[in-house]
Amino acid sequence: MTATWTRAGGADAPAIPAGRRLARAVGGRYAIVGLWGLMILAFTLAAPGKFLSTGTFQTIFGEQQAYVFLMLALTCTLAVGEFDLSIASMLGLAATMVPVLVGVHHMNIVIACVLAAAACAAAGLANAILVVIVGINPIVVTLGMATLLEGITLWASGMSTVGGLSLADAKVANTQLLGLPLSFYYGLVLTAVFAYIMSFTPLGRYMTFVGANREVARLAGIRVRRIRMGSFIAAGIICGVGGVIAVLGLGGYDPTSSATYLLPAFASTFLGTAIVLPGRFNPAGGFIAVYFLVTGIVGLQLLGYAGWITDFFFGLSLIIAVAVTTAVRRRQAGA
Amino acid sequence: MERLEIKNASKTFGLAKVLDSADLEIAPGEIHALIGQNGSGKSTLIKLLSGFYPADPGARFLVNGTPLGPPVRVSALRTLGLSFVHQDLGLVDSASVLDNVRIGQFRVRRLSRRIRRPVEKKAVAATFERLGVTINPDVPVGGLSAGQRAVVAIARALQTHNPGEGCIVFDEATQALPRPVLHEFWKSLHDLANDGTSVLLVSHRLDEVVAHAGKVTVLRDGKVTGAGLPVSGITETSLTRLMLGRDVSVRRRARVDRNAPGPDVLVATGLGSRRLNGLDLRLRGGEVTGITGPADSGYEDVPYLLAGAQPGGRGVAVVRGQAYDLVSSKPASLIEAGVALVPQDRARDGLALRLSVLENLTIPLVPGRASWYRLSNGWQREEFSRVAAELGITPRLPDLPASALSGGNQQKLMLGKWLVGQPAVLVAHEPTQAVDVGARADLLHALRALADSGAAVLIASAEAGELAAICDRVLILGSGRLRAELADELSAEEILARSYAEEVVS
Repeated sequence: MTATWTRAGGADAPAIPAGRRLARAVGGRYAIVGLWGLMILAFTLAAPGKFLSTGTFQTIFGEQQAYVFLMLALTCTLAVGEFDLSIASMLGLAATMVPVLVGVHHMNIVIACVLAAAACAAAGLANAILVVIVGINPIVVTLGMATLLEGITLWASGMSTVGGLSLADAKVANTQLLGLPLSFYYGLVLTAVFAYIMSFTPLGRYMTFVGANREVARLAGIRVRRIRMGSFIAAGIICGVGGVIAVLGLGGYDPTSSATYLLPAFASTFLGTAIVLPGRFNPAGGFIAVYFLVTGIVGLQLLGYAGWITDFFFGLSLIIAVAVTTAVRRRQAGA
Repeated sequence: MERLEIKNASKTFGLAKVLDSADLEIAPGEIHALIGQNGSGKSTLIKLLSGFYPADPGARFLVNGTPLGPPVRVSALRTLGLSFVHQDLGLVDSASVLDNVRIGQFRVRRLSRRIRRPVEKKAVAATFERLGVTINPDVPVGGLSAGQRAVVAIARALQTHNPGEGCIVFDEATQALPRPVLHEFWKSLHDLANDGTSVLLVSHRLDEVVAHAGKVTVLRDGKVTGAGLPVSGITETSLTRLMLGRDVSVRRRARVDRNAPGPDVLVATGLGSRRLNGLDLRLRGGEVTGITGPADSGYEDVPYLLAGAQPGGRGVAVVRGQAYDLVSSKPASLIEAGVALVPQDRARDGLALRLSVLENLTIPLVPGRASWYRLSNGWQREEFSRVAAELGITPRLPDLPASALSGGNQQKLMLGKWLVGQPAVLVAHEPTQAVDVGARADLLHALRALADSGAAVLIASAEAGELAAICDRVLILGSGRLRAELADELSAEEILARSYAEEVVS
């Protein structure tokens, strides 16, 4: 109850001293940020000299852009009350298509990138048609699409890592700016644009209503179908762009790795609903959640935990994130 | 010994004390009414009794002298014979009538644990017989009318009671009952009470209370303002005063001059739906038109049809000279034409409850008032202050989720959301459902004021008294067709007589 009162500004709004407002914000919507600080402190003490280094900083913020794009794609569909399990496969499709088209078919790199993004947009459109127009359950459709795209990706790549992109092309993603590669800033800018759309434009308001109550949205004159379809297509495009940027930066891609991206994307998207705008799927919260989770993984790996820690940590985070989301929603509803 | 005794029941949410040491006593065989405005704490009291919320420490609930909780457990409620019929009825649409009635009570075979269907059918048939209704127990509840659904919920509460024992709590349950069933309902309620079962009737309809209850307890702002008053010798007016602490009257205004009606704002021809059969309709500016009839006579569909919101609807509407085919038109195009719809089902069609009050209020205005790249905050807050003052929405906190408002305030918000756009035509379905007298007066006043400003207003409602009080003319439907049109000197009796008289005869 108390959390929802902090933004109160009406005539009867209780006056809340600035100090308590800050305390509530830290305790509520920015609790994860505080937790993040504690986590960094803990890792610094546990792995002195190792955790608090430029290398660690660059690992956390410089190499995990795929998660940000997937989080944004997922937020896009969840915000309007839909669901997309095919995001990771779409990203994998784009990341495989670029080296295959350039390396095997000697295509121009720009055309290859555009084609890869277009393929993902087409997959998103197929999801949209099947879910919104035909009316099939989105879990079934997108799970099927995910598996189908993974099959295509494995066939196109010959089931092995594809590579062969030139270092010159990698500059688009890897050029350093203030110690971080450009790809980090792409994710940051896209998140900012998306967050602006959600909070400050009519389109964002319409999406929020479609997600909160489809019938109310329809009766308010919102083109509900268009928005639902648009969200699937936008998710496809975001994944496509994310895949292209990822493969340009890495120079190659392991097509069998796509599926491992899905769960972290879900974990960060749901955890994001406890940050910035509690109870809502919001890009800014998701962005913070991505790097919060990555910090945890990197820190644990530095402490010497092996590969299993990634699954363990992401799985646990997803469950906790969903529990937190549910609790926040319940608290708001009962306010 | 009292059948049910509530002592010192309080409930605090955060800083707000919504219920403050309430007491209530019901004798065996008594029909006891609990009344109060929305937000007065009556729903909270019932939720404490049913164990939905834990009460603040110090509360005591006694059934036949046996303490109930804390905490209140479902099993204890059943053992002590306390059952509930809630406002939303608590039915599973996809399950059969039988399953809905018997859920939680199934008799099973000893070894196989299979449900004993013949026994179940007999139990349901016996309960329905007590209620004097016939409903096929095998059909899914989703296909039933509102009246039948209420009967199913009541049957579920009734069945576990041995005749003459226990207490049934009806939480605004008559809301969903159509009039012909209502008569039966009251009869079975009195039969129950005469046998010795107690009834706690939560209601906002004072006429019901005066006609059927033996005693009444009144809540205002979480406090009991009238405890166990005998209903004999009490009037609706004095009850209203206890509920509100003030007198209320719906302002009647001079009728539209019949010889010089306002211009036709909306002319509809051939309106049709599953239960509506080719209705023609004319709505004039400055006029409040009522539309009513027996349940399922088709009047319920008219608002949705005119707003282009009824799938499978037929007809053509001409709004201010522009024709709209209601088969292909979307709500968006009719909103643009100036038609606003206030639907009946607030939670399903009216408000996005988990979004803020402000977002809910301004959503219909967003396409017109915002540029595609910028939805600013200033005008939204201005509109909120204006509407909140006009309709008396409390608390005045625009960032609260809509779900945090009381029922009456949600209803005001839903009307306000369409008033801000100053529609040319406002069509409403039961705009004052489940709200208290104070909020009702505010809502009716706002509808009347909209008509006075030149808009055409259509109200589809089963509340004859309300239609008589506010409308300039009332259309009465029967079996999907227009049966009568009443204009001068409207009275609730006449509206009811015209709605039901012919049906009773035939």
